[in-house]
Amino acid sequence: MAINILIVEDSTVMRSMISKTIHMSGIPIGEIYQAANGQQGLETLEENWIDLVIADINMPVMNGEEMIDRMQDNLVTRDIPVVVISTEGSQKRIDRLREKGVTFVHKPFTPEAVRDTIKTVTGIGDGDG
Amino acid sequence: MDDRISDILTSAAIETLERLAFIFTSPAEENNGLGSNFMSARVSFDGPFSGRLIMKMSQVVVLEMTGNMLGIDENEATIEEQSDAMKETINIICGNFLPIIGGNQAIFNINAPQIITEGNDEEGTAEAVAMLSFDEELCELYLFLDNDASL
Repeated sequence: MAINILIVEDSTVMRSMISKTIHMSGIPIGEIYQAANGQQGLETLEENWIDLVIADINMPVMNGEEMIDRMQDNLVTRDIPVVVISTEGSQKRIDRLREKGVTFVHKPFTPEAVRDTIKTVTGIGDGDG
Repeated sequence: MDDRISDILTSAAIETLERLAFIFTSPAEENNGLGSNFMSARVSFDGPFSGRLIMKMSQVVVLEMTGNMLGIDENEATIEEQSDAMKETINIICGNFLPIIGGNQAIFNINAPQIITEGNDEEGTAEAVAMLSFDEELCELYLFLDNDASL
């Protein structure tokens, strides 16, 4: 089953890197949506069916943590799995994110780390669908 | 200048450039200067201590780094893409460097990186310096701490 993924990240270069990594992963992909901050991410979630959100934390307008809180306050979006890809180094903040049910991948990431994380949180393997 | 902190900054930068952009650098044995064709970025941070990290990178390295990150020919990288690649790279170097110095329980806020335009250079004495060499090209990093900060 192909999945729709939303990438929420203020760096266009990083969005491109994550998108390319996903395309090379072997995971069946429907659509990849992109947003430059948490507010745009929420708007994209309202307008489209999203199966997985990949988000940075430090972003302008609305940061990733606030976006995640808003997702979890919404019945429609609260069960969408979220993977945070971030430079965050504070174990306190990482633990706080994990308590919200978020999976954390540290930057710089390897393509394998992103692929394996997506497979784990979505339950999808190579060639499913 | 603190040599221990400089060594940590050097290691963080080398690892980030390798893993993020497949740019394999080593500590520069000689500093022949960046010349006139380079790009600079700055990122500021606060937390248990505050300051800013400056990165100056030879244009040749910027192009290759951007091309590698985007998977395109380096000559196709636009100025906007190069700037974004610089900002993201210094953001990641800073994010990886600070917990090593401050401890992984410390909470730092890293502000949005900026490209440094001409005439807007940093003054003062750097707390730490990293000089990296890549095919005879240079990448320099400088850590400045705010007046009341100590490590």
